[in-house]
Amino acid sequence: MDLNVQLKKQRRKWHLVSLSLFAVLIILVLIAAAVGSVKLSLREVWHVFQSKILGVESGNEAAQTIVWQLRLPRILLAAFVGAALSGAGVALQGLFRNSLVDPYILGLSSGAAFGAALAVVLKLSWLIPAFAFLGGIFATALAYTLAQERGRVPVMRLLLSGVATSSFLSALVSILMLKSQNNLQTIFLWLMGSFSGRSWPELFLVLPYMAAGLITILLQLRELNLLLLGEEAAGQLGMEVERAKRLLLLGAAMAAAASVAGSGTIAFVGLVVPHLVRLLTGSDHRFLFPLSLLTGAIFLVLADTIARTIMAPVELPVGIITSLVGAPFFLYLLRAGGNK
Amino acid sequence: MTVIFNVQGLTFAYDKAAILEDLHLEIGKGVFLGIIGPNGSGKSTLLRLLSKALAPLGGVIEFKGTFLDRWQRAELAKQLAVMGQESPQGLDLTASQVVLLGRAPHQSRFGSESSRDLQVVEECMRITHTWDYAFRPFYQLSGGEQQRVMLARALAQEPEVLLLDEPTAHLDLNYQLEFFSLIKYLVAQGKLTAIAVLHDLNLAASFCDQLVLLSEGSVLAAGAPEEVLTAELIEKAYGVKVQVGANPLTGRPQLSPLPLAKEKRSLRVHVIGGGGAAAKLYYPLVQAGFTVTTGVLNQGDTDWQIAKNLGLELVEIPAFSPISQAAHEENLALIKKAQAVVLAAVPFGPGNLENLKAASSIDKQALFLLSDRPLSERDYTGGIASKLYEELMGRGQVVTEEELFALLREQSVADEESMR
Repeated sequence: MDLNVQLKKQRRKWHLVSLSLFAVLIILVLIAAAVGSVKLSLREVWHVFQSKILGVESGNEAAQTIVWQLRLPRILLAAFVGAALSGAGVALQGLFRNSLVDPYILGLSSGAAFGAALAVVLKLSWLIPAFAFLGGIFATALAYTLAQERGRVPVMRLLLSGVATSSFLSALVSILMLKSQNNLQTIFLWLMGSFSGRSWPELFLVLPYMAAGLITILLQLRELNLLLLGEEAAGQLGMEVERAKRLLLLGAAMAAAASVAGSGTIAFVGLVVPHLVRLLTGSDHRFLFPLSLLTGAIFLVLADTIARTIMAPVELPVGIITSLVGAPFFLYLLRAGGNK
Repeated sequence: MTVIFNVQGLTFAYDKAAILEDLHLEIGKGVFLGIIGPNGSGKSTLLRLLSKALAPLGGVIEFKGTFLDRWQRAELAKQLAVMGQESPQGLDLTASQVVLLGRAPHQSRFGSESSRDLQVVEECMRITHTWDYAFRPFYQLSGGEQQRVMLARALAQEPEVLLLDEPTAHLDLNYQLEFFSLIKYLVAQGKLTAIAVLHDLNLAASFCDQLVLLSEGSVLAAGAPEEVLTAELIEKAYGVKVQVGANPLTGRPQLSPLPLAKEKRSLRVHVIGGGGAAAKLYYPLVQAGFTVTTGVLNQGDTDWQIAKNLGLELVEIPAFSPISQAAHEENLALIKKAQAVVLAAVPFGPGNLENLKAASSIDKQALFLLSDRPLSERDYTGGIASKLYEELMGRGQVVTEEELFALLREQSVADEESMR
């Protein structure tokens, strides 16, 4: 038994798994770009990529428009949202040392929904993403501020103030929905979450915030590992606990709020994916985090592809698929892994 | 003596009620210091303050000459490690991964484990006997195994000072001893200063170089175990009367709590003992609430030692000397005052035959003859004792220990009722 050998073996294993997942994601993106109301072959999709990236001439204008303008940005958005929600889930589950926590726990989804509903009611529908983003950040900041006590934020208080904030804002959303009956469906569809009609501008709008949020979390992976021992022990190992908690919360809120701004509140991804990956990798966040990003991306690209093809030409909100497919699969895994 | 911790006027409260009040303490380098005191005396709070997990409300703590609040946590963690009472729950890491977390203070943010880190981890796991399950998941380990892994984790910090809060709460006896032996060894090697909150006073007495006795949030006594573990101080702190003896192996102080009678009974019991035959009776008799007297005992006899420790009224004679007339009469006087007389299974020789005769002086008292060993096995008088004993059997009851207590209890209840 050699510690060095064991650690190397472990690291090599997870690098290999990460690479495989990345390959799966690429292939999935290509397949997703091929399927839809207009069926394309993988070769045609490949030609479009070649012409767009490598500048190789390609004759098929229609395929170019369908793949590059309609499908690819939406697929990429789904991938990034999946990664962002999962990454935020990892951060918050680690912060709360509770694997039942999801990125919306601190009222982020209700805050975003409130912002979005407000934008609809004020007839500023084109500002929904901005309103949703600000609403989500505002709700999380509110929950954090309310939980403060003598310069510290005990996680139990944070959880409770998040629940309170969330339920208060949900009530406000209901009032707005009742007030504007004719906009009910817009708000409702947005709440279910969907990538329908999203293109490059939406993607580039939210991408920087997601990236900033995820990088913030990435810089705190060591802290997440120390937090496994409890906050007091983490502090005694040299960690500035309150600072790390603030950064983790900030990173998670940014990533999740940007996701919600891009696609509405998609349920279940941020809860299930980190949980599922943890069953495989254990709690070491240096492996758990990157693998969760990849798995989240794969999961949501898959879900969105199903959402737009299963009842074509009708598109289902992707949130329905994530819950409908995700929940039973999750339960199955829980029961199968229950003996662990 | 180099001072590691200098605590002056320390005050702390969680809410309004003060936990620590104006506490002063100096802790020197290279000692194994035990913090003892009753529940709620502030032991664990003091430890958390020393580790900077809590900030004092008043007063100052200096660590190695610098105020604790001026220490960067990251720097502090290189010199000070803490092992808490509880192990983290449901930790999905292997034991060696947990111990590796102890290297965090010595690692840069993104650097992976250096070969030195791995070397320290392995060494710490070997000396704590946790290396055998280095690659098993932490949550699958037993409570005791988890605690030893947590010790390895704390040692992996390579600290100068180790704070321990009830570290052996989940360990069974052999691991408890092994645990403290290891700490003591590391301290003796000059590698470590250990400060431990301990519940078990005898454990504290046998392993610690120095003890601090806390009571109601301040230091009641500090110093060598012999100076701190006195009957007076323990009674003051814990409200319990103890007998302080010497540990038969280490010579360190050893405490035994004196019996606490749940209810006082009016019955007076005189025990005729000697040769260690009555030793086991005294404690339960006192605990049952009876007033116990005994005699005639040779000084140095086990019965004499225990009766003395329990503070019983007794008739004593010098070691190896026969019962004098005066002692015999004193004994008779005690028998006269008693309502029940117990004759333990004493071996009789010419020197203590008087004790057997004393038993036959009973008048209205109940006489109980303990049946542990037949007299024939303990008659060294050539039959004189046996004759006297036979006569006594006609006047009293031969009983087992169990029957004795039942009968005494019955008698005392009857007596108390008739007195009413």
